[in-house]
Amino acid sequence: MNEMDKLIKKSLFNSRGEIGSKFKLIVNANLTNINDFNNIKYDRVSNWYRTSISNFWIPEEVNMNLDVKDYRKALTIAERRSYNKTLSFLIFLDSLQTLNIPNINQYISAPEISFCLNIQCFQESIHSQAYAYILDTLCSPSERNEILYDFRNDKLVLKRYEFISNAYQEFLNDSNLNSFIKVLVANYILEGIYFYSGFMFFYNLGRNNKMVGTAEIIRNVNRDENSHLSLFRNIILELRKERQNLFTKEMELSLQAMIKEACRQEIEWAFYVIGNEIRGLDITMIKDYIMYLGNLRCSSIGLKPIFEGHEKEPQSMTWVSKFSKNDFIKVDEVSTKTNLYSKSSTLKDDL
Amino acid sequence: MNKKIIKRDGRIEDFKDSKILNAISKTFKSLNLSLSEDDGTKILNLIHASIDLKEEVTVEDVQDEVEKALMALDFYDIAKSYILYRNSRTQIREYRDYIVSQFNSYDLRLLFKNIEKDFPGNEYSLLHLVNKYKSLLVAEDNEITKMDTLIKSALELTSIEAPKWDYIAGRIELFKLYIDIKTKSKEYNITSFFSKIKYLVDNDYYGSYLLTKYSEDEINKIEKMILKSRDRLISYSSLDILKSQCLIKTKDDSFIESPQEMFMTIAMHLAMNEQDKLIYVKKFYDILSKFEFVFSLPILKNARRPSSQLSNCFIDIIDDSVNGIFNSISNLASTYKTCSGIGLYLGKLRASSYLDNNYESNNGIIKWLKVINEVVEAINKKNYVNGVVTCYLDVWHKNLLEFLELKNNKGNYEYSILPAICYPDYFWKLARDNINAMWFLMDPHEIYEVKNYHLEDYYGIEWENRYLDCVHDDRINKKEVPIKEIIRLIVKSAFETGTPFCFNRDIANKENPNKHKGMIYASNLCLEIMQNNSSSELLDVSKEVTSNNNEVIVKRYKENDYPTSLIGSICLANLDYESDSKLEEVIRLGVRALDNAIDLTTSINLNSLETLKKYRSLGIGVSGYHDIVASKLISFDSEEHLIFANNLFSRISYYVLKASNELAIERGAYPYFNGSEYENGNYFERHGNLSIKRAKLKSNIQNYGLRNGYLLALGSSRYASLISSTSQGVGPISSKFYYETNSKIMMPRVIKGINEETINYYKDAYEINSEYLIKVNQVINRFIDQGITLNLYINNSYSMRQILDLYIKAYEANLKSVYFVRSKSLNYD
Repeated sequence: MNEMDKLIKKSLFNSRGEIGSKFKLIVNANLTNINDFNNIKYDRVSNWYRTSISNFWIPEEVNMNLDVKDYRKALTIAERRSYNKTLSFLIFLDSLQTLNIPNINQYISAPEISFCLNIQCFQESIHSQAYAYILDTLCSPSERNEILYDFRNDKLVLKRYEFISNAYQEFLNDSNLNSFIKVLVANYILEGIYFYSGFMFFYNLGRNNKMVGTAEIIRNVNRDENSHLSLFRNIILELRKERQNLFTKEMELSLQAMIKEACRQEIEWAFYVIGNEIRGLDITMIKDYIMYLGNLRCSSIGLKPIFEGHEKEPQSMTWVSKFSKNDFIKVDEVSTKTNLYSKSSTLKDDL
Repeated sequence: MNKKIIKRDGRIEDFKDSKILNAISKTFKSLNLSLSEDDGTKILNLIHASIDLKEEVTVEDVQDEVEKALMALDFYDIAKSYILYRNSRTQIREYRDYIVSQFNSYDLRLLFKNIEKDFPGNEYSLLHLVNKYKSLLVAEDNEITKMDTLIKSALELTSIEAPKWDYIAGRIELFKLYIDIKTKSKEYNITSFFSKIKYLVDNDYYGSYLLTKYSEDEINKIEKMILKSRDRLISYSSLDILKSQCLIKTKDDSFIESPQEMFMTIAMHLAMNEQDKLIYVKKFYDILSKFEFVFSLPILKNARRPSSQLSNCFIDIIDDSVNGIFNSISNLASTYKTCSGIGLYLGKLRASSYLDNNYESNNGIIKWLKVINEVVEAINKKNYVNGVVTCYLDVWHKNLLEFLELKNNKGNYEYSILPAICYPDYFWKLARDNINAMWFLMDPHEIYEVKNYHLEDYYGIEWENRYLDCVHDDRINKKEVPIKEIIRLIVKSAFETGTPFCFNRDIANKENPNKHKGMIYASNLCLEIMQNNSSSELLDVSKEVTSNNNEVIVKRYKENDYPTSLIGSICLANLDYESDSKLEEVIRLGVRALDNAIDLTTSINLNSLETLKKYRSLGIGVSGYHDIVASKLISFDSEEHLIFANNLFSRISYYVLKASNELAIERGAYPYFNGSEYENGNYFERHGNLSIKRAKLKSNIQNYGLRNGYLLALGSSRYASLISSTSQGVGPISSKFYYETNSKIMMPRVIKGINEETINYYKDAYEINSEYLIKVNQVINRFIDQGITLNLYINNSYSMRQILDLYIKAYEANLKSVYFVRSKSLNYD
């Protein structure tokens, strides 16, 4: 293999490393690996850090009383099935992320970016806790296990899970710069397409006045995921700048193909999990939405869109972005708890 | 020529040449051409040549012939335009037909015809509704759930570009409501307005006074005054409040009262003691049903009822004794059921225990707060997460630090109450000029025992002197805390939770026009009511024998100032506020109606009724303020705005005072008028620079009195703004579009006044520097005898000093209170 294409794992301590921000790179930099946050090169990072810390949230703050009633009485059989399977899928994805991010992190040389990835990993764990809180509130222990380990009863689910985890496993088996780029994009797909398509389902229930507590928790998860997307987008774009030679026509085509295939699978999955049984969604709407997401994710990392005619948000799905933002949801500020306020630890003390 | 034409709905009408000509000349006009009489005749001749041969002629037949005739005469462009128009009408008809065909038990045809007429424009095309409806429909839907889905579809289409879908959804919801009402009316044999009132009075839904004060003849006259066309002003959001909070429901939870009937019977109640009853019934009905002046929720809910608590916003001072505490709590419990907006002052309570003889702090305040909290939660409805009481504590109270820890975002035990702190001027002066100074926290009970006065009973310089006196008195145990530390806690709490609220007690008392009769210790829930209050104490307990020989235990309490007010909002966006005569008329009627309400309100809390009789307090606010600023194309944060605000509120205050003065001439001044700053003129002198008009008003008031001791209080006007579909209070909107949830349903809310022109002037509050909001309030405040609910807006990049500066600026701007400090969570691009 070309020396240039070799992907170097960070050592724990490199006494011979260079000092100073100009030596920092996304990968393969020769640094001491001391956490030097004083000489930051990637300065978007400090805003990212502050925003993430102040957006800290605890799932138990969300009131699930109405959801408990809805789950038993208001959800149709089809809706409950879809709810369970989508939740199960999100749990799987966040578990995967919790394990996978450290794997990627082993190769990220710039300590300030490693730091952000650690925060991301922590947030994914909080998300897992959030799902546990949901399951704990809504289900009996045996029901919980059925949902958590759905892949044991459902072959299609098993097949999907294995496909997704294999993409990461492949990187573990053969870690080089090209496969690193691919795993970054695989991660981008996971965050930006699989997660979002899952969120959309919960928002649809929410707009039909069902499971509003779950929708609120998902909005918080969504807010974190927005930040993860932003982080990975920056990593990919910076890597593109530093290693232009790797982003050949071939590589771009193969990345586009990855995203396209991911969308195809997600659409197939959505047909299976949601289908035409749910009020407010049908397979055309879902398809349009996922193809739009695919295009969106492509263009944000510098690739050309892959689905013609789906460059704009589909008319039938404009409600999704409205339901996904906490700021858009005003709670009567006097009689119920607010969910908008941030932590004061980031408040600068200049009295 | 007796030709007949068959209309689309099957009716047979006389064929009229004029109708055809009309349609054709409209088409000509749309292309900026005109149809000459000659050409018109030619076209008609061609048409008649074809249709006269037929026996039956349909509308479609005639339209076909029009097209042919136009083309035969070489009017190609006209023909094309006519054909396209005809096609689009056909399409719209198809959408309408589709919707109508969904329902067999109801006929929605006329409803949708009216909707099409009243909401032209592509953004309101029924096509959108049909598409959205189809996407939300499921196979299992029955007619009832289909109707709900239709309404939900219309609601979801509400957006900044198409805000009026809220009204369309409202119309459909109203249609549904009328069906329910009709069914119930049939069941109870109700055939007229009078018979409805009679039924409702007989079954205890309406007060019997409606029938004793109004004859059947008068009620029949009133029935003719009801204007169903006013339903068009009711959006879905508005109707949702009316249905959930105001409209009368029978015991089996069915609707029986329509919105217009509600407005009319409220007007009847408020006008029932007038000499010219019917005139005032109509006038009150007009301002209410046109949403020009919207009364507060207790009035909307309880007027016309057998027992009618009409006032709002109670404020209680808790006496420093176990008896006092439970007396206040029991008052709280009984008033909480019928109204919200309550404020409680805890500053008289000792920090120590009632069992101890020493002054060791026992976290007294916090323990009693927990009790109050439990009471509020016990009364609260099932799904209410937090209650609606604001608790006040002085910034020098020994339990201040614990009080500041009350609400936090850590997920700890949370309280159903909102905290507010009472600040003297001295605190802000130190914070601004000497932030490293020490501040001393003391126990009010200990101070009384040692010094024989209550520190909290003073304000201004007097307070400052006594405070320093206590500070230098070594007999009093103090907690020494650097002011910087206190500010740190306050600012951090504001950042994380938006509270504690800020009540500037010295400013409030300095500006109090009735300082001759008392003092202001605390305000209400939203910090706009500033009226005299005092604590009650138990005088004695004795046994008595009543006139029918029953033995009773009598507890005698000292009468105290327990303020409550009659409240309403001037919905500026719904009236021609620029016209002096219109503004004056609406205000005059609003003041009159509220003044009437003072003598009609009943309450479990006798004390508050007595206080109300003495001060005759009103709390008039506004809504739709940002709407009118935007429609004048003025930026909220501009110098131009300050001039606008000054002019508008000068006029509003002038007309409010004038109305109260005229009522005093007619009915007499409020009992405590003598000795007030209205009587001695200080109220006007303080703000100086009297115009000739205002000087004349001042002398009229001094000579003839004022009917009401307290008049303007600009609250957050939440319900008035929702019902009248206008922006809230006197601040900028917080967002052009958002969903509001009451944990049962998500309703889209869009600022109604928004259009292409105004959208740039609807900067939302987070885009405006809060320093500017303080400036605006400073201008407006000069005309408001009570307070203004002021929200400040910050973001995550604010530092502690910046937040402190906002409070200091508010103090320097002479503002009496600051409500929430709101911050937005950060999003990523």
